[in-house]
Amino acid sequence: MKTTLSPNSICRPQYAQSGSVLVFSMGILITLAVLSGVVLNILGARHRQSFQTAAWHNALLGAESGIDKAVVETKKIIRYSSTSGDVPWAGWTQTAPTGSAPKYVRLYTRADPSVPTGVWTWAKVTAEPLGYNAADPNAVTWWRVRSIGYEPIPGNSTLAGESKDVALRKLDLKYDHRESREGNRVPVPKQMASRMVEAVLKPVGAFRAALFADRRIDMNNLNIVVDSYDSRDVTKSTNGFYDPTKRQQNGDIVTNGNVIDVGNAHIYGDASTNAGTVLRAGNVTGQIRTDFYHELFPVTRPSMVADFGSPSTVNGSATLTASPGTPAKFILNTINLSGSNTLRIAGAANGSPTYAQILVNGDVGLSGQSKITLDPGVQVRMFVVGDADLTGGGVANPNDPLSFQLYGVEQLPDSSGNVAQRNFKIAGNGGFRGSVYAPNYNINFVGGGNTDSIFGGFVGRNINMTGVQAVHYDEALGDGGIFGDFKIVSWFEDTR
Amino acid sequence: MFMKKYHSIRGFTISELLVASSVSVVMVGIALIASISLQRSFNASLKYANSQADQARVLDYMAVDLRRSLTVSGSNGQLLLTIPDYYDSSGNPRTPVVVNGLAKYGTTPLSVRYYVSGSSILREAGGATTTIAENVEDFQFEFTDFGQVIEISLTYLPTFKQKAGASSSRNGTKTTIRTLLRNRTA
Repeated sequence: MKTTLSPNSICRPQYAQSGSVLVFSMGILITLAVLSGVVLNILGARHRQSFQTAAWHNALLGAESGIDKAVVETKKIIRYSSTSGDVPWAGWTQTAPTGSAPKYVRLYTRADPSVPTGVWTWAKVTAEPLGYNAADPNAVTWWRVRSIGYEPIPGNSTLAGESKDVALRKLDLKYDHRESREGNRVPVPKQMASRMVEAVLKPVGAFRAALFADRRIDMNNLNIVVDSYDSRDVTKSTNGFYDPTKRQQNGDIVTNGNVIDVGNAHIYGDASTNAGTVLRAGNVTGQIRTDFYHELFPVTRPSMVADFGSPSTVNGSATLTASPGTPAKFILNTINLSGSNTLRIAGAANGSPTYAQILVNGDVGLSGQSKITLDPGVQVRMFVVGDADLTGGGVANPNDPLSFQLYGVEQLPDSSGNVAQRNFKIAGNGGFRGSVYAPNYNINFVGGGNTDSIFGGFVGRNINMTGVQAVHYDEALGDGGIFGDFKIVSWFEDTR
Repeated sequence: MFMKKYHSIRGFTISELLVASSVSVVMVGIALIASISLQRSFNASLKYANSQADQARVLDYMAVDLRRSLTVSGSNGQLLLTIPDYYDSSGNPRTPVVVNGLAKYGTTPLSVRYYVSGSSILREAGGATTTIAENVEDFQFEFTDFGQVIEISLTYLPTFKQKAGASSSRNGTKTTIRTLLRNRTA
C-alpha cells in the first residue's frame, strides 16, 4: 500500500518542535548571559577596586620615600664641608626669596610609558625650616617637610567601591582633588591615587642614650643602676639635678653591635642591640630590643684658631677663661696634671653663661689629686685627639652634664694605613658630671666607692664599667651637644 | 482529513504522560534546587566579597589613624587614640610649634574612637561620628600592643562555614595589619 504524505502535514509539527527548542535554548542563553553579565560586572568592580586600593597604598610609600629624601638633605646640612661634595638641597628648587626662610621643592620622577609624557612624578616634596633665624641663617634648625606620593591606577577611570571607600581613599580620576579643593581644576595625566604626609624633623644631639656603644657594653655584674632624669623639668629633677625620688625610665643602653652584658644591672630603660643578645638582663625594666642601629658620625678635628695669648700646653695648675657669647678658643698640645694641680675653667663671677672650646692635639692626663674644675655657668666643649685619663681628682662640674662635653676626634690612618685605637678613662669618684661622644674610642669607667655615680650620656666604641655604681642620664642631653643627625619627631597624614 | 488521522495516531497514552510528567517534575525540581543553590552560593560569594571590602576599609581607616597617633589604647571593644590637632577651625593645617623638644599642633590632641554600635562600626573624631561599615555584626577584632607597633586582626563569619566550627571558619577570613606608630616615643 502506497502512503502519500503531504509535506505540510509532516513538517508543521517538526517546525513547531524546532522552534520550541530554539526559543528554549535562546531563553537559557539569555538567562546565562544576564547572569554572566551581572557576575562580570561585580567582578569587574571588585577588580577595579583592588587596583585602586593597591594604588592608594602605594601612594603612601611614595610620600614616605619623599620624606626620606628630605631627611637625607638635612643630614647633608650638618655634614657638609667643602671637601665632602655633598651639597645640601642640590637639585632642589628654592622658591622663597633670598633673605627669607628658604623653601625647597623637588619633584621625583620615573619613566612610565603609560603616561603621555613618558615620565611619572611619584613624589612632590616641600621642605621649609621651622623657627628660621635670619640673623643666623646657618644655624641648625628644625624642618617641616610635606611630601605627596602619586601612584597611577591601572585600567580605566571608573570609580569602584561604595561611598565609604571613596570617603577614605580619595582618588584623582580626572582632576587633582587637592587643587580642586583650592578651586583650581587641574587635570591629572592619568587616573591616580595621591597621599600627603607631613613630617617635622628635629636635629639630634650626640648624646641620645645613657650608654651607647658602637660595639659592646660590658657592665661586669657590679649591681649598677642606670636611670634618667630631665634637668629641664621640675617634675623630673630638683633644681636641675638628679633626684632619686623623681627617677625616670629612659636610661637606655644601646649598641650597634650585638652584645650587651648587663650583668644584672638595674636598667630603668631599654636595652637594645643590633640583632644581638642582651646577657643577664633580669633587671631591665624596659624593652629588650634587637632592631637597633643608629649611624654614629665621626668627630672631625674642629677648624679653629686659638685666642691670642692662650697657652699651648698645660703641665701644671692653670686657668683658662671662658667668655660669654662667642666661645673662648684654646688649642693645647697636651694637658698633663699631677699632684694637686688644677686646671680651672673660669667663668663670670655671677655665674652667667660663658663658653669655652678646647682642642687638645695630644693626650689629657690627670693623676694624684689633680683635677679639672669648671666655674658655675661655664660650658666647655673639649675635643681630644689623643687618649684621655680623667681619673685622679676627676672633673668637678657644678653645672649640668651638658656643660662639660668631651669629644674624641676621629683618628686618621698613618702612613701604613693603621688607625690607632684610642681610650678614655673616666673616674666616677666625686660624681663625674659630663657627656662624652667618642665613637672611635673605648670608654672605661673606673672607681671603687659604693657611691660612685656619673651623670650624663656616653657614646663610645666599647664601654666597660669596672667601678661605677650608677649612671644617671639627663634627658636634656638628647637635644644638646653637636648635632649629627635629624630624626622625625612628628608624622601626620593629611587626609583631606 | 489526513492530518486528523495522523494526530489521532500520535496521541499519548496515559502511561506515557505519567512517565513524562514524572520526569519533568524531577527535572524541574533539580533545576529549581540547582538554581536556589546557585543563588545561595552567589549571595554567599557576594557577602564574602562585601565583607572583605568592609574589612579592608575598616583596617585602612584604623591604620591611617594609628600611624599618626600619639597614644593608643584598646578596651571594652573600643580602640581609643589621640592624634595631633592638625587642622584649625577652618580645616586648614596648623603650623607646628616646638615645645620642650617636641613639635605640637594646637593645644590639645584630638581624640579618636573606633567602636561597634549595633551592626555598624563607627569612627568618632572631634565629636563627629562616621559610619565606616554597616551590617557587619559578625566582625570580630583582636588588638595587640607591641609598644612601637600595634597589631589588629579582623575576622568575619562567612555564610558557608567549615565543619570544624565558627572559629575555624573565622581563621579563613582573618586579616592582620601591623602598624608602626610613627609618633609614639615611649
